[in-house]
Parts: sequence; structure tokens; C-alpha cells
Amino acid sequence: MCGIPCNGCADYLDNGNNKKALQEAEKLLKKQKDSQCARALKALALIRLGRIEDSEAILATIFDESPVDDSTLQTMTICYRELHKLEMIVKIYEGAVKKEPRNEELLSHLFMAHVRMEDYKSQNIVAMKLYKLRPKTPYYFWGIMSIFMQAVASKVELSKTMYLPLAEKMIKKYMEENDLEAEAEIQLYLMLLERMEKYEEALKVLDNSPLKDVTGCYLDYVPLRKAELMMKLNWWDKANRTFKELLSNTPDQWSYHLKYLDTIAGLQESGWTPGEGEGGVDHTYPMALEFVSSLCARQPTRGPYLAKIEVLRRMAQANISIDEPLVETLFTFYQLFGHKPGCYLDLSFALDSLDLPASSPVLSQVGGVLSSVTPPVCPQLFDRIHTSLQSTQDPASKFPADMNEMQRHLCLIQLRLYFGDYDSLSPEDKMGMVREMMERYQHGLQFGKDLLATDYQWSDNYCFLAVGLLLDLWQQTGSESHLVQTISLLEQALQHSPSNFHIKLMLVKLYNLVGACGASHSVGKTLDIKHIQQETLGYLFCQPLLSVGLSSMAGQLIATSQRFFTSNHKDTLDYLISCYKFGSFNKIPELVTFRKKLSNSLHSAMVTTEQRLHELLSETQSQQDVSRVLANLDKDLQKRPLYLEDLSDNRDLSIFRPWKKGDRAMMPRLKTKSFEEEVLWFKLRHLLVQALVGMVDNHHTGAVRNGELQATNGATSQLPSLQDIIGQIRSHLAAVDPSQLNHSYLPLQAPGPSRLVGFFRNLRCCQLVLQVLELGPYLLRLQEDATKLEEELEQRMKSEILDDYKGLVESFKNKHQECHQSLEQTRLLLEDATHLVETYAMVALVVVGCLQPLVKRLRGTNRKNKKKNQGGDTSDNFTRLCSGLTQLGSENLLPALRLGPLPATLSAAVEALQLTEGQPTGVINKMEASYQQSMKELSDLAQLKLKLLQSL
Amino acid sequence: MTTVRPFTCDDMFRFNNVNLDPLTETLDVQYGLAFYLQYLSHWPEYFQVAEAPNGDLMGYIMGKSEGHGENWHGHVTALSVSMDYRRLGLAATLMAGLEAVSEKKWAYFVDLFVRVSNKVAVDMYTRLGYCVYRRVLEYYSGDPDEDAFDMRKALSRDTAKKSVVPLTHPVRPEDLE
Ligand SMILES: CC(C)(COP(=O)(O)OP(=O)(O)OC[C@H]1O[C@@H](n2cnc3c(N)ncnc32)[C@H](O)[C@@H]1OP(=O)(O)O)[C@@H](O)C(=O)NCCC(=O)NCCS
Repeated sequence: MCGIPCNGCADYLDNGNNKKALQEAEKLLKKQKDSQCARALKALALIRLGRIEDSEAILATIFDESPVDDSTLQTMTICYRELHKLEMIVKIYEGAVKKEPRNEELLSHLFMAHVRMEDYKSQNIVAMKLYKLRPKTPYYFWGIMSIFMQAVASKVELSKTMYLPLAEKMIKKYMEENDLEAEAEIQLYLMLLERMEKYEEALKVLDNSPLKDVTGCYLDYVPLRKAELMMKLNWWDKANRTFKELLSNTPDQWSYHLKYLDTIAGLQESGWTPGEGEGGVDHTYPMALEFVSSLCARQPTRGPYLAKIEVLRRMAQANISIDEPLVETLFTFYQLFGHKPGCYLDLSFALDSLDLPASSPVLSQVGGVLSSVTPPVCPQLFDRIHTSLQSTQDPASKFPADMNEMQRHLCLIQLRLYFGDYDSLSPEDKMGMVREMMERYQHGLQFGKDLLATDYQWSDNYCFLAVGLLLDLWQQTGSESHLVQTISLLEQALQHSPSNFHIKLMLVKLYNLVGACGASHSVGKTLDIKHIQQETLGYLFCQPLLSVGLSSMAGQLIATSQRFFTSNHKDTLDYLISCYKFGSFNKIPELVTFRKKLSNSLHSAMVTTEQRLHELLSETQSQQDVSRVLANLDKDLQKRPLYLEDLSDNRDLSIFRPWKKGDRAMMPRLKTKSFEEEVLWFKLRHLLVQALVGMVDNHHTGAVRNGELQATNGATSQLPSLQDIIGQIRSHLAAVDPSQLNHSYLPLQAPGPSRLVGFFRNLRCCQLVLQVLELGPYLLRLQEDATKLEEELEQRMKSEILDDYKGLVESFKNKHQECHQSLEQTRLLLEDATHLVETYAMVALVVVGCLQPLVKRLRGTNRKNKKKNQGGDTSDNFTRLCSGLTQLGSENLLPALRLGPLPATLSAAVEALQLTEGQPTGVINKMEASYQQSMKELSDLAQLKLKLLQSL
Repeated sequence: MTTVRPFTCDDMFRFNNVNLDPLTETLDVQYGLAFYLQYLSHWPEYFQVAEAPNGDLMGYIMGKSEGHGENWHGHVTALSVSMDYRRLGLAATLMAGLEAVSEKKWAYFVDLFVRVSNKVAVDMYTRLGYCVYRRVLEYYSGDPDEDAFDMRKALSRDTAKKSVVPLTHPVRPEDLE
């Protein structure tokens, strides 16, 4: 037992006051120097203060005493959790259990420790021990669940032949003596039977068990589960009856409608006909139509109407003649729900499903892109709607009289845009439409006068229509005025609707498009992106900011992202444990999968790599800095493993709603392609950082710590890996055809181009870094045999690198002389400048962190051996490289990092639109500010590296 | 047209459509997912999501059951419907589901907290049969702090409707049991 009260100290830790906690722990230790609990608390305080080594030393001594005291063990658990040493938690509890094998508490903690490790086998063993010790049912089911998870995690074969039958046997054995009563137990039994495809047995369980009355199940749980099992058994008639019943109670539930219709498909396929006493089964589509129509008549909810459209679609597909034209049903739907904002979404979905049934021959490929085929019913429907709108509207006014009328009009225009009705308008007519939409937007604001700031303006959708058209115009005419106009419209709409995240997301995308990522960052901040949103939406900010050199803003985001990943790593495990405690067994496999998706997140891997690179490049202006950063990096590297395979794409694209059918159809393909490209980009980046860290770390620390040739032996063994990394980078580079990369920012809702595009445009930058990296192994070879001079590499050191870099700066200047004429050019310029400066920084890092110590050693060796390396001095060449780089930095690079103002024509374009109330120059200023900020940060980085080089 | 189904972990990857709304209750979950995972692991039956035919998440409700004796009740922790799918009766459906679960659990009443300024929500709850049981001062921290209404609706077990007799005085958050 912990002999002294440690509460005070624990409180300080809880409140994050780690210094005070440390003092308190030390005070306690003065009174009682052996107190395990106080030492454990001290260890925790030390971890939180970043003194990892001290803490580990303390933990090791307590560990050797193999404590059994609960508070000590719990504190140590937290320590190991924060040190990411989950296996140690298992070990301390194993030690404790050995001492007190009949301690239920300790055993159950050991069980939880295995849960953290996802070690299902050990979980099962401990659970059964617990059950033996105290025959409580939950322990027994922990054991079964552990076997179930072994089945989930294992190969199909093993799971079928071994684990699942074993789990089943255990349940059956239990049921011989007891009834399954608790919901958790029944749930687990059902999960098991379903996985074993024993559907009939599962049905019996549902029929006989008390689950029907067991508390906690959601509404239709039992009948729904049963109906689904019946479908798996092809008992279509029974399932059909059940779904009919379910629908009679909840006619709005879409999933029931779909399954109900699927049972009819099943009945049709199997040629089922009702036998004696088998009434009440709808086995044909006309019967379904009748049933669904009866639901429509009952209550005007969307469900039955959409279902009716679906029935009609299936009938048309099966060539069954229909008395009632489809357009009537669609129009009725519009009449009933056209005044709700969701109507457009429902109708576009319904119409979408009409025209392209999965196996339809209409599906045609045009140039690899799915052509959008307008369903034939559209023109008819739109005419009907149009006529009805005209009949209700006051002929004297061109605007709607109230909100509902406005929504009805919006619905029509949105549908028309979606199905391509405006695609073929001339630029002039399109511009006319834009004006009309904006007038209607302005007019519609009056319906939202009384809205709270947390609501959205009802008429925002008009603004989005204008935006869609303007972007079309941009694409059609190539005139960037339309881009600026789009941005100002959205900025204006945001003033009236400050909570509308659709507006903000569009602005983010557009500012990124023009390279003004600082502006998109500001908008992004108002989105208040939290927790998992960093994972699903963070991609909108991090990479774009980095691509234009805004690494300090990106740094803030990366830091919060990483905090999310770390805390999530802990949280998911804690709640996995909760699932066992509360018997929420069906959430366990779900949570395990979820956890894996987060751990394998590409975004997380990407930001970790970028963070590492950022520290290496931006926090080093002396050799001491370099070793400090490296020392910290190493620990980071160990903290979280990087999964290069099985990376997962957790970006949320569903938040973006394409305005056009064609765009919508392209989204899945664009997402896949974008993911492939991002993975490749990540791999290249990761390898590059690995090469930099590995190279600088080995040679640098080797040189600092030992200074002797001995160190090189160790370093030499690293050689193949560096060569290997460079080889891997080269082969990745060779495998890509840059022209095949996605270059397009449209549709705006798609992920857009990856940074690979800019990277390949600046491929020579990367090649230069590789060439510098290769000097490392060369210098090492020289240390083994100073006579083995390689002319090519000496030449490289002496002049080629300098010439190449100078060439890069020159061509940058030439290419961007006229960049201020266009926004897109400005983005390109910023991207190129970022590559240019990053290259300079990487070269400086390698030169100072790795080559310099090696050359220094070489000089030492030469002196000792009194052997001059013939044919000119490696050392001299290196000196030339250093001074040349310094000179290039100050005389060529820094002066090139300038940017003039944007042309006045752009703000004129905003004024020409005459729609914005505010300052037309507002958006231009925002962009300019961001551009200048990019240039400033890039110059700062270049300056810093200049200092690093000068520190030699 | 809606599918109401249990909320799954993976829904967190795409609930932005609902969650970017400023009034959505997310508590202090700046970094972690503890808030959601806690409910998922403990009261999965109280965490339901509504999905549109096109796959959009339209809204969700999360809640729990707690309390002893006559205080055994269902609680609505968060309820939010995406702007695009409002006024379709979704919140009402989700609330009815939560009430039904609470009935099954033989609870006495259902309660919830709502910002006093959130007129739409307060009105909606009133229409759904809830009444203000008490006012909780400065329940929501922010700039400035804001009061909450603690609203309740009695379930069938509370035949005398004892649980919904309003308190005459407001209370402070620290006095909530
Ligand atoms: C409050 C909220 C959940 C309502 O969702 P909803 O699905 O639109 O609500 P419903 O359609 O079920 O509305 C039920 C009834 O509430 C009332 N109501 C809902 N929204 C209303 C509004 N904007 N104005 C006036 N009354 C409204 C109506 O009486 C409505 O019935 P009706 O449409 O038949 O007249 C939604 O506005 C929301 O998500 N708000 C942000 C989050 C929030 O405030 N949550 C509550 C805090 S716990």
C-alpha cells in the first residue's frame, strides 16, 4: 500500500501543473524515500516535463520491485502509455499477478493491458483465469469475445475451422447451465452465428430470447435483424411481409423501402407464387406500387414518394407498362416538398438514379469521362415546374413573394444547372445569368432578416449558383477576372451568413487555387476545425500552405493535428476497454478498424514528415542547432511507427457538393487518383527526409562524439541504406509521367492537384539535392583510402553544384519576370520559389551537418598520415563549395525573392461586376498580403541558411 | 426520406456536414474523440444517425440514461441536423427514438440542456412536449457565458408527472446533481 497521501501531487498532475507536481513528489520522497507511489508520480511529472531519460530510470527501479499497489500501478500505466510502451503495462501487471494470483482487480487490469496491445490470445487466457477465480458471466464473455476477435484478425480459414467453432462451443456450454439473459451476451451470440453464416440459428435466438423485451435496443432492432437474416436465407416472402410491417409503422425509412423492393426482386427471380394461405406478400412491382402509393396517401413524408419513384424506375427497367407517367410523381414530389431546401438534393438524387441504372447500355465513355446523360424526363419535369412557378407568381414582380416561393424557384434553377441546361449558354448569356442570380440573392436576403448569426441565409444558394456559373466562365474564357469576381461574391455572402461553412470551404479552395493560402488559412480558422476534422479536412490547409512556403502557419496546424493523433491513440484504446466493461461487443471490431484507419492515416504520416523536415530546415542556424534538432527527432521517430503500406485516405469529400452531374460522376475517380498521387508524394518526401536525417545524423553525431576515424566504421555500415534510399527516390521519379498527373483545380469540389505537379516542374531541384547527398558516401570512401579521388565528384563539389544552383535561380527569374500579370502565375511563382529555397536549405544542411565534419576528419587523417591527396584538394573544393553557396545565397537567391503588386485590372474586374457592396479591393489586398507573407517567410528561411553556412 | 440507424465509428469521418454547424454540441473536444467514443462504447443504442438516400449524413442524436430512483432518466446530449435537411421533421423523429428507448429502459423522464438564446431549439422542444424545468446560470462557458434551460418531458412511468414540476429558482451548474 502507498503509505503516504499522494493526492496533492496527483491533483497537480491533473491540472497540468507539472513543475509543482514534481516538487510535491520530491517533498513526499523526503519523508519516505522508498514510496513507490511517490516515485511513480515523480516519473510521470518528469515525462510531462520532457525529462524522459530521468523518468525511465525511475520507472525501471520501481519495475524491478514488481509493485502490487494499485495507485502505483495505475500511475505507471499512465507513464508507459505516455511513453508509448504499452507492452510494459502488461509486464508490470504480470509481475503483480504473479505475486498475488488471487487478486481479481489485478487480473482484470492485466486483461485490459492485453486489450491495449490487441493481444487477443492473452486476453482470452486472462479472462478465463478471472472466470475461474470469480465465476461472473461477464468474464466468461470477455473470453469468448477475445476468441471472436482472434477470428476477426486471423486468416479466413483459421477463423472458420478454429476460432469461431471454439467460441460457439463455449457459448453452448454456457447455455447448458444458464440462460442467455443480458443483452450483451445475446448480441455476442448473434454476432458469432452471423459470422458463421448460421442464419437460421440466429433467427431462433431472436425468436426465443428475451431480447425483444430487453432494454436498450433501438426501436425496430429485433424485427429488422430478423428480416435481414431472412433475406440472407432467401426467405423472400417472410422478409417481404416483415418489411411491409416495418414500413407501415415507419414509412419514411429509406433503407426499409430498398430492402422491401429487394425482396420483390428476390421473389421475382425465384418465380415465387403464393400458395395456400400465403397472403400478404407483395411479389410483383405493381403490388409494390399499390403498397407504396397507399403509404403516400397516409402522410406527406418524403419517404414513400421517393420510394414510389424507385418502384417506377424498377418497373421501367423490367419493361412493365405503367399507367401513371413518371413525371407526375416527380412533379407531385416537387409540389409537396419544393419549398424545403432539401428538395433539390432529393430530386437530383432521384433523377440521377433514373438515367443510369448500373447495367444500362446508355452509359457511354467519352474520352475516359462519363458523359452526363440527362434523363429524358427532365425537360418535361422542368417545364411543368416552370409553368407552375409562373402561375403562382405575381406577374408584376420578377422576384418571389415569400421564402417558400423562393425555395421553389431555387430548386428549379439548381436542378437545371445540375443537369447541364446552362452548359451551352454563350459567355454573355452566362454573365447575364450570374447577374440575375446575384439580384435574386440580394432580394432573398430580406427573408432572412431575423435570422441569428448562427443560421444561414436562405438565399445563399443563389450565390452558389452564380459561383458555379462564374467558374464555368473562367474555364470557358480563361479570364481571371471571373476568379476574382467569384471570390468577392463569396466574401460578400459570408458577411451576411457568417456561419455558412459551404461558403468558407469554397473560399478556402479558391484562395488555394490562386496561391493565397494565407487568406485561406484565415477563413479556415473561422471553421473552428476540431479533433477528427483535422484528419478529414486538414488536407485543405496543410499541404497548400507548405506549397507556397507558409510554413509557420502550416506549423500551427501540424502541431494541433499531431496532438489529435497522439490523444486519439490513447482514447481509442481507453474506449476499447470501455466496450468490454459495458458489454458493447458489437462496437469492438468497429472500433478496432477505426483505430487502424486513423493510425494508417496518410494525412498524419504526411504532416509528421513535414514537421520533421521543417525542424531540420527552419530551426537550424548553427551546428549545435543541428545536433539538438537531431537529438529530438530521434525520439519522435520512435514514438509512432510510420506505415508505408496500407495508408488510408480519411479525407471527407462528401462535404463538397458538386453543382453538376458530370462533376459528381467524376468525384470517386478523382479521389482515387488524387490519393495515389498523394501517396507517391508522401513516399518521395519521406525518403528524402529519411536520407537527410540518416545522413546528417550519422556523420554529424559521429563526428561530434568521437571525432575519430572509428566512428566512420559505424557510419560506413549505413552506406548501403543511403545509397538504397537515393536509388528508391530515383526509381520513383523515373516511374512517373508528369503529364499524367492531375493538374486541374476544377471541379472545385474535387481534391485538386497534388504537390507532385510543382515538384516535377522543379525536378532539377530534387536532382541537385540528390547529387549533394551523394558526396557523403564519397567522402567516407576517401577516409578509407584517401587516394581514391573521383574526378567527377570532385568537379561536382568544386563547381557543378554551384553552377547548377545558379542556373536554377536564373531560370526562376526569367520564367517569372511577367508573373504579376496573373494570379495563377503567382501561385506557380510561389511554388517554384518554395522549391528553390527549400533546395538551398537542404543543401546547406547537408553541407554543414554532414560534409563539413567529414572533410574535417579527412583533413585530420591526411595530416596524420602525412599523405596529401593528390590531384587537388578535396578540402579546397569543399571550401569553394561553401563560400560559393554563401555568395549565391546573398547575391542571387535573396534578391530574386521579390514580388511586385498585382495588376489593377483585377480589382477593376470586381468593380465591373457592380454587385459587391463592399470594397472591391478587399480581396485583392488579402491575396497580396498572403503573397508577401510567403515571400517574407521564404526570405527568412534563406537568410537562416545563409547564417548556417556562415557559421562554418 | 431518411434512414435512421446506429451511429458507427466511421461516421465520424464524414459527419462534417452536420458538425460544422456552430450550435452543434461538441463540448471541449479540441483534440480527442473521447466525447464520441464514450457514448459509442457505453450507450450505443442512444447514438443514432440519419442518412439521406444520396449518402449524406443528415443529422444525429446522442444521449444516455442515468440517475437513481425517481431520477432515472434519459438525457439528450447532442442533437443536430444539417442545414440542408432542416424542417423535414428529422429532429422530431430522432427525439421520438430516444424517448422510445428511454421508455423501454423504464425511465421516468427525458431531459436536455439548451442555450436560452437558441430559440429554434427551445421552441421545437416545447412543441415536442418539453417544458422548462429550471434555468441553469452560466452553464455554457464562452464570451460571455450563457444560461441554459434544463428542459424535461415526463415518460409514462412518471404517472403523476412529478419530474416536470418546474423549480422556481434558477440553479448554478455546480449545484446540478
Ligand atoms: C434544432 C434542430 C435540431 C431542429 O432540427 P429539424 O430537423 O429542422 O427540426 P424538425 O423538422 O424536426 O422540427 C420539428 C418542429 O420544430 C419547430 N422548428 C424546427 N425548426 C424551426 C425553425 N427554424 N423555425 C421555427 N420552428 C422550427 C417546428 O415546429 C417543427 O415542426 P414543423 O416543421 O412541422 O413546423 C436544428 O435546427 C439544429 O440542428 N440546430 C443546431 C443544433 C442545435 O441547436 N441543437 C439543439 C441543441 S441541444
